[in-house]
Amino acid sequence: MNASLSQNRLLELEGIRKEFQIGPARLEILKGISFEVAAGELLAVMGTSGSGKSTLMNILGLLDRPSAGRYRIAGEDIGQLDEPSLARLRNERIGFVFQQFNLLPRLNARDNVALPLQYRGLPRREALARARAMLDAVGMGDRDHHRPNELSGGQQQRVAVARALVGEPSLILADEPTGALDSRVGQEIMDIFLRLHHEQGTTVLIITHDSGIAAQCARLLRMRDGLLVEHDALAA
Amino acid sequence: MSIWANILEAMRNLLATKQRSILALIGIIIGTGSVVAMLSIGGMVRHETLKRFEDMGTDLISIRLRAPEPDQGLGVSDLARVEQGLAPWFAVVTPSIEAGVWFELGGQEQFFTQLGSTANMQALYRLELAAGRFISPFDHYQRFAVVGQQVANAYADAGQLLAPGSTLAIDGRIYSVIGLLERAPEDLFGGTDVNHSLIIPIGALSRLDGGEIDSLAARIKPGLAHQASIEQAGQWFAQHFPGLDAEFSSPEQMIAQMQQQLRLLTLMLGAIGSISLVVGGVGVMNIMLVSVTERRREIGVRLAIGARRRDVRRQFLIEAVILALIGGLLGLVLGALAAWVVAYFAGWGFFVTLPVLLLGFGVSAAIGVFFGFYPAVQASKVDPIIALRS
Ligand SMILES: Nc1ncnc2c1ncn2[C@@H]1O[C@H](COP(=O)(O)OP(=O)(O)O)[C@@H](O)[C@H]1O
Ligand SMILES: [Mg+2]
Repeated sequence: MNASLSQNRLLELEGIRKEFQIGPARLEILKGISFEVAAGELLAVMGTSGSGKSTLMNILGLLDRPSAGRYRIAGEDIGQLDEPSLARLRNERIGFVFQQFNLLPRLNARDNVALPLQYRGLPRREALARARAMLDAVGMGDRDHHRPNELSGGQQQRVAVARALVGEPSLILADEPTGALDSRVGQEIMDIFLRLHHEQGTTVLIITHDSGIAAQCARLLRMRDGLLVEHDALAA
Repeated sequence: MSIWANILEAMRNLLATKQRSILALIGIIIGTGSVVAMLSIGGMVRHETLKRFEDMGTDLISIRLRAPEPDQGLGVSDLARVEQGLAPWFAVVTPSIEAGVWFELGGQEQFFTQLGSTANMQALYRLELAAGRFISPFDHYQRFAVVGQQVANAYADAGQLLAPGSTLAIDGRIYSVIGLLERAPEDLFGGTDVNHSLIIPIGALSRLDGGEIDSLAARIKPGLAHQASIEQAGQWFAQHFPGLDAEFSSPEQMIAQMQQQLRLLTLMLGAIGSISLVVGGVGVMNIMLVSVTERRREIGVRLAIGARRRDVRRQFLIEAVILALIGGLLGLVLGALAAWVVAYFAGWGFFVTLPVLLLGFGVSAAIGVFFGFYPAVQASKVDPIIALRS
């Protein structure tokens, strides 16, 4: 395997397993998942509800650790990292987008978007300026002082996308980002991801139930019952 | 995240639940208020006491003399020896013999003290004359009287205006008035109120009433340590007049006594204060725990976007401290108000000192840190997976 190819690998998963203790039982939710993602890929993950997609995404996003297996980001084995280092990686390299938007209700749009930069240690003024610019980029510049409850679902998701993008991460993890939106608004969100992917070469992984969304991705991972059942590249 | 950003966020979160927050703060408000009131009232009493002695000087000592056996007392003839013996410590010494007398004046029962003393007394107590002159060293056996202000008032009420040259008949004795005093500070020291007294040459009074001196008053020489001088003077007495009890009192002792009396109030407010602060602290802890539960999803989101666990802990701790500080601030106002009310009714000058305010603030901040710590740790332990799934 040549060096430039291995450098190009952003994510490497080998035999990832995850168990949860549910009552007296230990249930294996991820049963040995291996795949690689190259930097700059746009991929979709599909699968029935309960198949372990979100669990996988939490591990990819460093919110959770696998029970077994090896996970590397840009060649770095995250099993070796302590909590503050994981937090820093999340902050600098990963942007999350959730189905439920998950904006902080007491902060306005601009403050929500500025938050990752503030955790990075940027001065508040600079963080707010960059947040403002990012809101402009997702078409929400005129709503920067609105609280989440003053925004529609689609608008909230745009703000949430801005928050995921503001730190210029190399990986976007979106868990059913269009699941709570009607298809037209959902496509607007998808368009932002597509533009990001094309213009900045950001790696984007989207969990979705919508085959229309999945069809716009270059690659599809299909999960069933804790395993990857299909692992194919679509024609983009 | 910077501390200012944290504080800003904390304020925003507290404002969002202000009713609940204020309710939780009642304990801290009362607690801080009690502490501030207690310290302020203590400070004002001390100030008032000192002020009262300032008029006379804190170097003024009174010595009450008691002879348990007859003929062991200090007589007028011993005075020169005593004055000389005490000279190493005391600059001015003045004796007094007190003879109280009830009599009727214009249909009213009056109580006056015939106070036998010497010319020194005027300087010692810094007495001001309204008219005439004070007794002089040459008046030893003359039945002269310098009239205290309240005595003169009583006579004026009965229709007799006293002036130098007037004569007074008291208790079957005739005195000629040689001077009238301005009002003197009340309870001058040693318990005698000069305003209710006739000051008479000590020789004259000792002839009439027998010669045992009741008390001495003296000023400590400048530059000497008060307590040590008093002790040494006491030893001198014990040596030279073994049959005599000499009981010294100094302004310091009086102040100490007053502060002793304040202790009950201090203890009470202290107890209320501490109990309220604990109750208030538990209130803060409770509201913060509720807040952690309510904001689990928020915590999950913060962790997802890169907050470290200690960022979360710090955020909730700052929130608890600010909450407690708001209670502390309201408590300061309440405590100062209570102290003001007490000062108003006691007729004292009202003041609150900066150290007291800082202490009140510090106490509430400490409560916030102490009782906010556990909820903050709980917040930092939230599992983002579970928080985000809900
Ligand atoms: N923290 C957890 N504790 C216990 N069970 C969990 C936990 N997270 C997920 N599960 C279980 O794992 C299975 C997969 O969940 P999830 O990854 O959310 O599936 P998907 O996102 O594909 O719908 C579900 O049965 C779910 O109940
Ligand atoms: Mg899911």
